[in-house]
Amino acid sequence: MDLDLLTASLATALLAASPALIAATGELIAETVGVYNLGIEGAMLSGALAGFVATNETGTLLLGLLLALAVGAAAASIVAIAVIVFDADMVVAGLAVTFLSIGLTGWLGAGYVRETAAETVPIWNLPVLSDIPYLGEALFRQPVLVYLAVLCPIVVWLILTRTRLGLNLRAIGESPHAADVSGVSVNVTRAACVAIGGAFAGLGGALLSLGSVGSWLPNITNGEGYIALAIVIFASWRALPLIAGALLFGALGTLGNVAQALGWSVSADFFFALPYLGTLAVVAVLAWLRTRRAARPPWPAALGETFQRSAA
Amino acid sequence: MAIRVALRGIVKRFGDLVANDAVDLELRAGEIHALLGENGAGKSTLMNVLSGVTAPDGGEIAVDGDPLPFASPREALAHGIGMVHQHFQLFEGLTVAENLHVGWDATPAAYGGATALARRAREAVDRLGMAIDVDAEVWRLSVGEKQRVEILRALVRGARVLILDEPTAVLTPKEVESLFELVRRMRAEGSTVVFISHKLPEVLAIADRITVMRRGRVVAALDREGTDARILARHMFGAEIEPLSREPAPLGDEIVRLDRVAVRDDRGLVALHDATFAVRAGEVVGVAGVAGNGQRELSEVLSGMRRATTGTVTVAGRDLTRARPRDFVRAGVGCVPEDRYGTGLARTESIWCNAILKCYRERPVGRGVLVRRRAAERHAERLIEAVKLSASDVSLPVRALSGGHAQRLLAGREMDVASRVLVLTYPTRGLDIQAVLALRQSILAARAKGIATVVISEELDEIRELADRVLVLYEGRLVADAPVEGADWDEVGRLMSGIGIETEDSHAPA
Amino acid sequence: MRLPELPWRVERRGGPLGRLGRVGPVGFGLVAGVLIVVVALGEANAAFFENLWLGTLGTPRGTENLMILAFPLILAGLAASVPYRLGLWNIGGEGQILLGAWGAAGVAFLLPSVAPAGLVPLMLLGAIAVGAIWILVPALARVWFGLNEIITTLLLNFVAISWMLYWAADKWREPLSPGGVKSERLPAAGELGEFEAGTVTVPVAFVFALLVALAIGLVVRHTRFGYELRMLGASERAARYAGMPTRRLIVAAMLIGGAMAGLAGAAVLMGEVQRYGPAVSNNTGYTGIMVAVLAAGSEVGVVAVALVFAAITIAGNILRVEGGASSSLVFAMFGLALVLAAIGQGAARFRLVRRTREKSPPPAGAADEAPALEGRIRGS
Repeated sequence: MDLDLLTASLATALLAASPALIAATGELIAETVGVYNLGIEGAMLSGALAGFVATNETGTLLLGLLLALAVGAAAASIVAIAVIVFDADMVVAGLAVTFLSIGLTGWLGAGYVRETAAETVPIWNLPVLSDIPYLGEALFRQPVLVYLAVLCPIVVWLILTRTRLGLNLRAIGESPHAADVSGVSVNVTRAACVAIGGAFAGLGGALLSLGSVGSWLPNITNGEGYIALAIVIFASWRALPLIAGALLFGALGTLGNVAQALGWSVSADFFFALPYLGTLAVVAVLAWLRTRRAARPPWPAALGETFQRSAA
Repeated sequence: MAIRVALRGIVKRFGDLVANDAVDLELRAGEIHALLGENGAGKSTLMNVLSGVTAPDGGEIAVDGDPLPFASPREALAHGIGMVHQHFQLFEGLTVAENLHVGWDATPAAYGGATALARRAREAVDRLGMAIDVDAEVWRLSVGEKQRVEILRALVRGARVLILDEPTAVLTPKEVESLFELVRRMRAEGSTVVFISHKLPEVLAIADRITVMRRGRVVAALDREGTDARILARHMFGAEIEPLSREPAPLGDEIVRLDRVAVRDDRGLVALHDATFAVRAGEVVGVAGVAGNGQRELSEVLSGMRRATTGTVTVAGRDLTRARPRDFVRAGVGCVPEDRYGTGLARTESIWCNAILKCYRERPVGRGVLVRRRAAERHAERLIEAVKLSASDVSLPVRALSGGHAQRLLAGREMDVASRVLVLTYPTRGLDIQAVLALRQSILAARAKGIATVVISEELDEIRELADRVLVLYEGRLVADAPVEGADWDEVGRLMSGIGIETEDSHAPA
Repeated sequence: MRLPELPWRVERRGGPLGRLGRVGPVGFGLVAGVLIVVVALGEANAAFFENLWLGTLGTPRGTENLMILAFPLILAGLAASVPYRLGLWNIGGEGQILLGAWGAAGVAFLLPSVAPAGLVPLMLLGAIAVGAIWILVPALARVWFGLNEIITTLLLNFVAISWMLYWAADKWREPLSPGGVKSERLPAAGELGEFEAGTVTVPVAFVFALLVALAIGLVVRHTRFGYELRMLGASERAARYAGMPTRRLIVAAMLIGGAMAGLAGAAVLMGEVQRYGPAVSNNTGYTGIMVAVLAAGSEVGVVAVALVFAAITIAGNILRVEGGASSSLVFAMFGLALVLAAIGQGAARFRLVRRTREKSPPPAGAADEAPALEGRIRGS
């Protein structure tokens, strides 16, 4: 393989990994406080459309990104309200929001299909670093949001391990009842985390429609929200390994291009399936390895449990 | 002494149940105040109200004369009220240092990592003159250490009123002694300690003042001086309890035999070592010990839920060491497991579904691959009649029954199976006195029918009342085997706490 | 400080929900979900409701449409509802449908000359087998490694799409087909036809789906296996305590789910589209999950909700939507109905109680503990 192809593939892999990485960081925030948000796919999709429409209608990328954040948060807030206020089942609420988003974006976005984005996320060549031969080209000449995507898990990691806020978040995920008697307001914090997680997902979606794809397609996320869920499992509910998980997913998605460039005679359908199949295989192998080490499960102990103070 | 906390007219309802019915209570500075009452009397509810966990439906609280809004545990902590719950409210996956800092205003907004947090925790713990490994993750700690973390969490935040909810229930006598020492030291420093308990002896041993609750009301508020167990019991139960009468029964053949049985727990550690004992027809054997010393595994190996790794289990002459749970049922072994809901009964399912759990494969309920609904309902109706349950509709979920009724249903089902052997694990835990008496009576009835019975219990009174022989289980070993008649109960209590036993490393994998 | 007291307060119900408490929120969600969209589009007029009536039960043609739209949803609903009895989620219905149809088509293309009486059962068996195999890995990963079945079944859907495209657009492609990806037509012997009942044409596939639902209902209610599923769903520890083979039951329930979805794919292929391709599933697997959730594990409920969903689909087609995005609109209505029903179901567990001043003694035998989460089988 020649170096140019490798460089180009690395660059593509990083770009392809970024939306899922941002969304996975958002999902990690929600799952850290114990809320399993299957609505992440919906939040991503809604964010993708909202960002695209706002950018194209106003011609201002920044407005588009802000709206993507807001709409992603709003979609996740439906999950939060259903689960926290009305004690609905988390899986049902998440799926419902995802289905609602698929339907609504398909309908509302019908008029925008295949329109190209008025403005896409600008590419920013990092000074000095982008001049490194090959590596610089691969990693440091990316759309701005790609750098942000890598920064997200790092910031979340710092917050979770080094701040009072992060400690309280982890505590809620371990035991909402204990957090409550320790003086943490559980449900408010949970709702906020789910909404913020949704905002991340919305931004991740916008990076698709305003970045790597650059146009609106129905169901543009194509399951990347679910990939984000898998990346969280891959990372064993820790922030920094999210980056590795997302890069793995991105690399698998880029293999098709590589194969085409090298003239391999393997069906393109196989390469379409590869990121999903590969993610699945990795997650399964990790789960298998975990069963061989008898230890505490890596996920937050109260993941999936709702909390009502009166039931204490 | 100054009145530190005053509760006036506290009312709390759960559905139709009035858990606190206009309760008044005064707590003074520098006293150990016992809140005495049987399970369900409303003690924990009242203290949950004081500590801000439960919002009351009426009443008011004043701390040092200032009204305390019923807001949240945070508010209560800010007013110096801390509570150690019966079911520990700890974060098992976090370290001790992290546990101490959760939700604490004094935790720096950005503390800069685990080491810094541990240093802060160590300083705070040292200041209080206590010892604990602040770097350990809580799930690795012993029960006594976990309780210490709970107490520390309240104390580091400056709690001057410490509420302990049934603190001795899970402790060994040795741990109880060090807890009492700590409580007395706090009193000496002017703090108030509320001691929730349903055990008379320990209340008499530690308290300065005693408030007795019954059915959601305060029925007596007494000084320790000038009261005794008889007076307290009368207040607690409303009447003096007649001890059950137990006819001497002739012992029959040996029915159950465990021979050098070892069992591993869920983590693969040996939880029961080299257990050997036998039970004869018409005999009740009591297994005394603090929970977590192999009781669960013993009960499971006696019912086929768990296989012995070595040794043999024999029931009525048949070797059941490698048998399945069904074979134990067929051999006439009934077993009330330690967790009533979850293992014993499925709360969300109907009474009839739960009633046939042990016989759904057998005729008349099961026929081939079918389960016959009509026969199942008849079986369930017969069962609830036998245990005198008032519920008439067997399609109601078990959730609709009270704890006592659910336990009666469970015990009834197992006694129905138990034509030869009955194993009961903590049979009366959490029940009110009426339910306890009813259950103990039916255990004695089973004994009279010639059934070999094993009662695994933490309550020495229960064993004294029911058993013919007492065994003591400590760290997975049977360390005593004596007839109840003329047993030295002080010695039994000491053995339960491991005093006078030489132990090797008993949790090493074999 | 005196507590401010409102005359009413919200309280958690102690006992179980009655029939109304279970059905009410679902009905509310379905009706409100549709009405919100219809009103938002400004179509809430008499003409719409008349067309809706004529398009469903009002005419023989409408009734036939209703059945054609409902039968895939009945089978897809069962695919999710059987594992749901154990608290397990089969989100992979979409993929299992595509694979089941693939299995049926494969049998038909391999054995083109078998008579209908032989070919139809063979194709259905092929669909059952392949649908079940497609969920085997998630099921085993669940019981062996505790790997969450939601994510594994979900990811396999995307793999299934690739698989479908490979066969429909490549191996079995109809060479002269101008647009769209689809295979050659199935042999005529592999068709599930239709029959006349009075004025109405009834698709055989609809009757088939009803029979399958009936069979599942009978198995769950009257067999040992069904009882074991029930108890395992209610409490895993109780099931183990009774000596039930819990892991085998979990795998069996998931395989049945996969087989049902496989049948849904086969039924659509053999009863409607006749050519293997993307048309085999129109988000049917995902819609089936919503059907199962709204039906709350009841087979009668699955049939009923599937019929209502079919009617909603017809309503969506009546609403004139620009850009031809009516299937998206329909999907949005399903999603909205599910959100509202989920909220309603949660809310139904609470009640408003008038505050009383008088004191009453606690009744004997009242429920003593707050309901707790238990028994649900959990994993990563």
